[in-house]
Amino acid sequence: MYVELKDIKKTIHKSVILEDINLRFEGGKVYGFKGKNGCGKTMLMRVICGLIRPDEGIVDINGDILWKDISFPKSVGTLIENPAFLSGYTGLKNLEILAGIKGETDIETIKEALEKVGLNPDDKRKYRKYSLGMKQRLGIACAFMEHPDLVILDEPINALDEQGVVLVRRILDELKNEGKIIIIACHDADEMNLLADEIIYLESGRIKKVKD
Amino acid sequence: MIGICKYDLKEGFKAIRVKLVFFVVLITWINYVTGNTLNMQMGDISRRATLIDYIACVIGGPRYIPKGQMNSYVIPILWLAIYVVIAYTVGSYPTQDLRGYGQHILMRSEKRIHWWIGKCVWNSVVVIFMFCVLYGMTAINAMLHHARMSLTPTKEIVGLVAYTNLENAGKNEVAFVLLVMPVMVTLALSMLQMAIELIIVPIAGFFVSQSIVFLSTMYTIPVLFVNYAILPHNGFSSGSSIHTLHGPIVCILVYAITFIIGAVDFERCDIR
Repeated sequence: MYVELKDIKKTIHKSVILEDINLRFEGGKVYGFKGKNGCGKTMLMRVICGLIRPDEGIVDINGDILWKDISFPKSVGTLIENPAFLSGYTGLKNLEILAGIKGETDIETIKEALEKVGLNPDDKRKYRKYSLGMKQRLGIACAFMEHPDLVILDEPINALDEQGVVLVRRILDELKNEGKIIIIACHDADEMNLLADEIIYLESGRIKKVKD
Repeated sequence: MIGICKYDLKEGFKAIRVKLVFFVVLITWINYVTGNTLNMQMGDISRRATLIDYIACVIGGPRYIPKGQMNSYVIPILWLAIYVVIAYTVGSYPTQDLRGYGQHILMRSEKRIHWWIGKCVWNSVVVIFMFCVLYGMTAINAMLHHARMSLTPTKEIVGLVAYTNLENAGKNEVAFVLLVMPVMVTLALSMLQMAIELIIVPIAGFFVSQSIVFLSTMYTIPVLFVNYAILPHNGFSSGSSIHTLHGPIVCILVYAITFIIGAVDFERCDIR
């Protein structure tokens, strides 16, 4: 499994958001995006997800070219910006609806994912009653419940307590050992050093440096 | 594909449930006014009223304005309200569903065209559902007023209350204009609205669709295709260039073209 970005460029309203992005992501590794607010981290994640179309360049996902062969990566789980779910349903029901679109994930797998992030699958509370930390945990469960090959997490430890951060580390480790590509963005420098195998520094939409 | 259609039908209807209640209240009010109008204006003749007469009063549309007589124009508020509320009801869900949770759905739909088809199916089902409610409630109103459950119009009633001369109307033409054309016109109009909403901004879609509706009340020209659903504007009644048989062709063309334009644009657009 690999994801390769070649000469990616994106301009919005004449302002260059991403430019000259050349990266290759391999399975079994955690990649971290680092940079100031507005440097293009989230935009780059959206490009990889197929939500944003680059003006120039190619996104190659295991031989499939995004926007040409496929609309979205075939196997991707994401948490980009804030977790967003249907407020009138429980966490389990929210994930069940999402899993129902592809219809490849059973209820037991969804429950397992919820337990992994420390949420009770039998919790009858609606999403609107969840705390920020619980919402974040649900967002993370949503990203990996279908065992995707590519996991993209924007600020995964936001709003999490210490126990939650430990859980995220454990989950990322598991995913890495399963050979998945994990891409994260994180403002906490120590946490990023701990989680990522490779850190990509972005500045004004360009890659400043890549550090192993 | 089936998964996304199921999701849209269930969550889409849930998202507009309050608007649907508002629509039911509006139709109840229009039917109340219709019942009173028929009884007050027609006196004894109203006893001969049929189901199609009631439908003509509700959805028949505004009177025909001959060229140069714009001063006789009266805004058909209740008739316009039906189209405004339908447009308002189908208007916001597709664009709202492109944010947050909807992006998870979109990425799981595998192809963008699946998402677009899901929204088109939802849009069309909502329009058909709303017209079923409208016709159903009008039928109940007609029954409550002891009207005959017939699709044969009463010339005097339709002439006076729905401003339509039926001398040259075909046998089934009136029923077709009143029962089929409003649904077809609104299906095309809602697709046009949804495509413009996605391509430009939501308010633009609403503005364009309702401009077509509003202008159709004044000008009897085929390009304002809502005219095909306005009984008094039809050629058999007013001698205008609006011919019943052209209506379905125009509506299918508008529906198909906007479906394609929407699909092509959505295939390339950024989701932020």
